[in-house]
Amino acid sequence: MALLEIDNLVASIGETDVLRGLSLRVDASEVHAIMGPNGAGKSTLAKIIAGHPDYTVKSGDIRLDGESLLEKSPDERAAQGIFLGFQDPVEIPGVNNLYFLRTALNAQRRRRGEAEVDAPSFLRLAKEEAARVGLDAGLIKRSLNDGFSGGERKRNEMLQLSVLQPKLAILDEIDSGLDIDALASVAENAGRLRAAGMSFLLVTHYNRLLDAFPPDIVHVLVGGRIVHSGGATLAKELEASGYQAWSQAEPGLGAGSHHALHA
Amino acid sequence: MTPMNQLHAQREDLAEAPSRLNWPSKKQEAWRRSPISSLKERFALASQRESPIVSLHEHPPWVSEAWVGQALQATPSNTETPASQVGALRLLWLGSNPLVVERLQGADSGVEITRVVAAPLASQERPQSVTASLAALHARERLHMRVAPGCALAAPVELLVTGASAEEPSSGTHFVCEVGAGASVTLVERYVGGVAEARSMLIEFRLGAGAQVEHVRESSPAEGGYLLSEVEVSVGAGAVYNSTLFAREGRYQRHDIALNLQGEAAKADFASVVVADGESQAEVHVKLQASAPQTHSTMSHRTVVKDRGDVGFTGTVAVKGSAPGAEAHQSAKAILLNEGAVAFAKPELFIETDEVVCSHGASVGALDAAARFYLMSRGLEEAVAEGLLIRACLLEPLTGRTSPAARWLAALVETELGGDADDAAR
Repeated sequence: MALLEIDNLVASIGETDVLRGLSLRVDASEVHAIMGPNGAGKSTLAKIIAGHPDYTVKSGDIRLDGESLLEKSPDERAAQGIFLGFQDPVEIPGVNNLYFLRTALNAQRRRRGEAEVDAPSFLRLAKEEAARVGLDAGLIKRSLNDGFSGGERKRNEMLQLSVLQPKLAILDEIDSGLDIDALASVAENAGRLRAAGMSFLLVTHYNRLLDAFPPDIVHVLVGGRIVHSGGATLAKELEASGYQAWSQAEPGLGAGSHHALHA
Repeated sequence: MTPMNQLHAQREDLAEAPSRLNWPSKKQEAWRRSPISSLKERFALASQRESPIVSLHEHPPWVSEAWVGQALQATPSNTETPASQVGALRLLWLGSNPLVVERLQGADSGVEITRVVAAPLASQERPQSVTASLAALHARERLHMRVAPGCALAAPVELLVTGASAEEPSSGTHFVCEVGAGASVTLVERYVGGVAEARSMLIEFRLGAGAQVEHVRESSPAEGGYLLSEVEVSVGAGAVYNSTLFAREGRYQRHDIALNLQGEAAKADFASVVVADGESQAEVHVKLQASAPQTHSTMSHRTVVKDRGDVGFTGTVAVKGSAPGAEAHQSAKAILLNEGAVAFAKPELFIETDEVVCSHGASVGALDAAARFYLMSRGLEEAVAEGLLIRACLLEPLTGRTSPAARWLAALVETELGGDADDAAR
């Protein structure tokens, strides 16, 4: 049984179908990358897995450890092991970063029937992980993402990932806005977490993250469907050829036709 | 005329007085959303009720020592708050009587308090606003506090107004605070208990050059009660006035604040936090005028409204031609938790000179759905996520205020929201 199984998922926002029969499987400790043109549905897929309320799943299923997520709220999905690293992390003035993270961690642990982490232990853990992801110690005591630079926000997402320890991390363009050092730090930490058994679903446009944190499988998402999958070298091919061939062919695509295109 | 005779004369005035006041009309924007008819009726009825005349400096006959003791138990000086550790001077009003002037540990000798028996209405120089008129009318005595130049009161002065009794349904408080040049004082103002009533409040601050005032206010009228409150502040050169208001409960409460930055480099920071639910209505109207060069001001208003609550805010900043180099910032945010809840916010800037830095902004709406999803995606239940967002909204203007009195007020807000005091802000 795969860690994450998505079967023929059809989802919409309002009257518009945004995923149109998407299927995907991610095993434990695997790293998958989702690539595709703008508007293909990459970020939408990430949000739907995490349970964003704006989207309606019309058919298909999403399972984690064999258990369907569709009826679960975002917080229930988080406790079960889903983490969404946001492309644009929200800033919330007035909510202390550490207080929020400890509240989140203990909420998840309570839901899983685990003991809560006391304040001193949490503080040690948070400081340790902040140092690992390169987030300034002063920032972890400030309001959540308030006044953070783009890079600091992404590092803060990595801090949350490191502390919350989900089974599956979905990172939506975690590489955008990062300088070379920050990208290396993200890749290093992701590698560390992967070695500990965490799986990753990376949504990205660029190879620089995939060079530093190589995926096992790369998927091409066009028009709300995965139209092609391949190994890590596929990302290089896409960089050279772009998505035009897939985009032109997509309107007529049916189930399984991506194999023919790939051939 | 003896003081008792003066009180009798005042009492006679009261019966007819509210109807003779110059009440505003709905045509005045600041009163457009106010229940003027209800206010007139409530204050008129309350004023006409027979009320025993008591001698000065004594408890009214319906008040026992035990009752006063109980009221005092609820003051910041007797709670586990930062303010409690430094409480020094307590001014207690019972209804319209400045009943107790109590100097506690550490009270400074640089403070002079004068009790001024209110003059009969007929002989009063009538203040312009209806709130000031009512407060001057109902207050049996006015307290006048002078802080000597250079006197730094390390401990806050508590201005505690208790509820009136059923025998005295209306009450008025008139307090004047003069802070000499270079002096500093913290004033903690709050209400304790009481029955449904019509209450009016007038506070005047006069800050000399370089003076500093921290004014922390908790406003919780009695259930079903009506409160009209007015604060007038003049800030001298280089002086600083910081004010934080937390308003909740009651049927209707209104706060008119006039901030006059009269001296060069005068500074004023105002923050109001309002929570309204049930049928409560609250209004906060702030008028700031910068008349001298290089002044600085901030004005922040945060509110959360639910049920059929109704909260209005207007913030007006006028930078006069005599105030080049002024800096003024306004911001208002309101969160509506359900249909039927109402919030109104209107920041305004009137600038009559060049070389100023001014900003204003207002938002009214439901909780931020993106922020709620973000928090829930980390494992917080919906109610917890919403609670955090509400707390964040309300506490935002208080986070930079580090004085014990301001932290005490922030803790009150936390308690109102059901959270752990200070936890989220740590």
